Amino acid sequence: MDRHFLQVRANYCVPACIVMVEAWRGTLSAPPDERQHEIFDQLAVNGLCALEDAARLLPHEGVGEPDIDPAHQAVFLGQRITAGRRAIVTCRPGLLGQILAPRKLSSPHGTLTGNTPHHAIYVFGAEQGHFDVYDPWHFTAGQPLRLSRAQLARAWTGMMLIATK
Amino acid sequence: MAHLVGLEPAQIERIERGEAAPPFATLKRYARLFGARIDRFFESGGSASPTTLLFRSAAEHGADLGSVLTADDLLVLGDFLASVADVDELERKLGEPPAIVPRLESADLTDPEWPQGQEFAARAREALGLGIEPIPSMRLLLEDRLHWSLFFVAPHELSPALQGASTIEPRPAILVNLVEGRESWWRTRVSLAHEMCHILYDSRTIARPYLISPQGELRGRREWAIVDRFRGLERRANAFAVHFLAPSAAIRTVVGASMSPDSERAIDAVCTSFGIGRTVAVRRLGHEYRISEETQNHLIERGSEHAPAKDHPDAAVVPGVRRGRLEALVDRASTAGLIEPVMARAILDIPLSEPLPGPAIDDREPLWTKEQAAFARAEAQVRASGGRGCWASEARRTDRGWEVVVHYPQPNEIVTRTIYLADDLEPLHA
Repeated sequence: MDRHFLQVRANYCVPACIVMVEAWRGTLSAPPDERQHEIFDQLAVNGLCALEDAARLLPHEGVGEPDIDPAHQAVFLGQRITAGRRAIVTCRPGLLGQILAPRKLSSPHGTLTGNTPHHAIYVFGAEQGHFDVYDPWHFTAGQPLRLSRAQLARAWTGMMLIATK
Repeated sequence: MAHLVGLEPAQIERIERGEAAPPFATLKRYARLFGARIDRFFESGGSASPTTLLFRSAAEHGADLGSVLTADDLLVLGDFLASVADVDELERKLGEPPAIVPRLESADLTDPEWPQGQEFAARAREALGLGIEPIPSMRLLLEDRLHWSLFFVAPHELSPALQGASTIEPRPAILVNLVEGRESWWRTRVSLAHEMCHILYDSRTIARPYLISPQGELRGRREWAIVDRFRGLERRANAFAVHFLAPSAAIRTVVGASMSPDSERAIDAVCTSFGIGRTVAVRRLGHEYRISEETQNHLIERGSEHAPAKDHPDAAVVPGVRRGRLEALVDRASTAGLIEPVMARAILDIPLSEPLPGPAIDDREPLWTKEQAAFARAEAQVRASGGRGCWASEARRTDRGWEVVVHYPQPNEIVTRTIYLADDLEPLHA
């Protein structure tokens, strides 16, 4: 089952997404907030968790080294999600913030802005050119978020981790 | 396979055993080689794809296709087949009429001999109600009347050894290599007629939904033996093409009693009337009027003082597998809201940082800025050299291209690097 978890701290997006994958897989072994701390302690380098390193903790089909221009990759992501996988993808925070701004979501961490470290989100649904995602930056209210393929592509870095059951 | 996708054999083995995940670029190349868009490749697997059949066919016949076709050729053939599937999907969405493939009965399709080409051409003309009239445009006949899909590539895209290809699945489609440019439209017409024969007569009987057609004579070229009796099929298709374009009775009508069949006037008249080149015209006249081989060769070598017309409906072709008809269909489907802009770009292989063709409306505007594309390229470069978790913060235009500032975490610091890229985003040295 897909569940949303708020990231405990502003630099915990990757741990929060890993917890969402673990909840989907039924392997979440600790309370979600506690588990985010555990994951952060395992992965963080100088206060940042790289998506590439999430692969150490999850069964996966691969960490997508991005195509330089991910139109094909967005189509591929949709196919893998439709085939029953889940994904963590990273976005450019400022661009994602702009796309989400009209939805008036709330977050204890402020607004997503600028070309700061990439922000990870959890992708669990794909249908007819749309993706259903959970964004750990924002509270659960108003989620899941339905993003068109173009909206996701606009903010996406192209990095993705395709998780398997 | 390793050679084709650009990996070491051991890496391919690890991927195929599920011990390693391939980079996305490798997956994409696999899909292209197997003639499928990446989502279709993963939906149906590659086992039934035409390229698989091509490899199997070659292996069964002891042929070494790799000595004839380069990896780039196979990628173009794969793009052709993927584009045919895209055209099929888009035409269905747009409610276009289905392709027409006349059923043509024949006594013996399994043992091809070139004289059958003449008989088959006559049957095809009869089925299409063409009589013995010249065909003003092969392109319009196939595209507008039969709703077949035609694709053209420029000679730099495909080896000249490969003149054309055709498939009947999922819909009849032809790929023509414009070896001498689209200005040589008479050559394009022969290629289209040649591939038409494969679609009408051969695709069903050889248990292969597609065929590729090499340039020139196949005698002694074992490496091309990709299906049984391939040489016979090719010779029959060649005969079909010239008889379909210039039927015997029509040649005799044009030449009439007033011209000598080996005269320059007769050759020009046949070229002009039937839209064929000098070589084909001489060979057809030679065949009809039993002109000696030596005289035919002399007439061909002598050449003509009259240059063929430059304007011809069959010269109006757009090179590029994803151009022409496919581009027009994507345009219409986008306008009708039947496909969204990312899929449109994936089909046409247009970067996110470029607009989609057609009117400048919101949906077609670039999804990425040029700066974003520079970010992605610079981040990929830093990641490739170990900068895990990197992010770009700034991209500046310079005389040489781009300077992109990228950061990544290390245990005791956040490292900052400047990456230099050319205008086309290829890496530059500092």
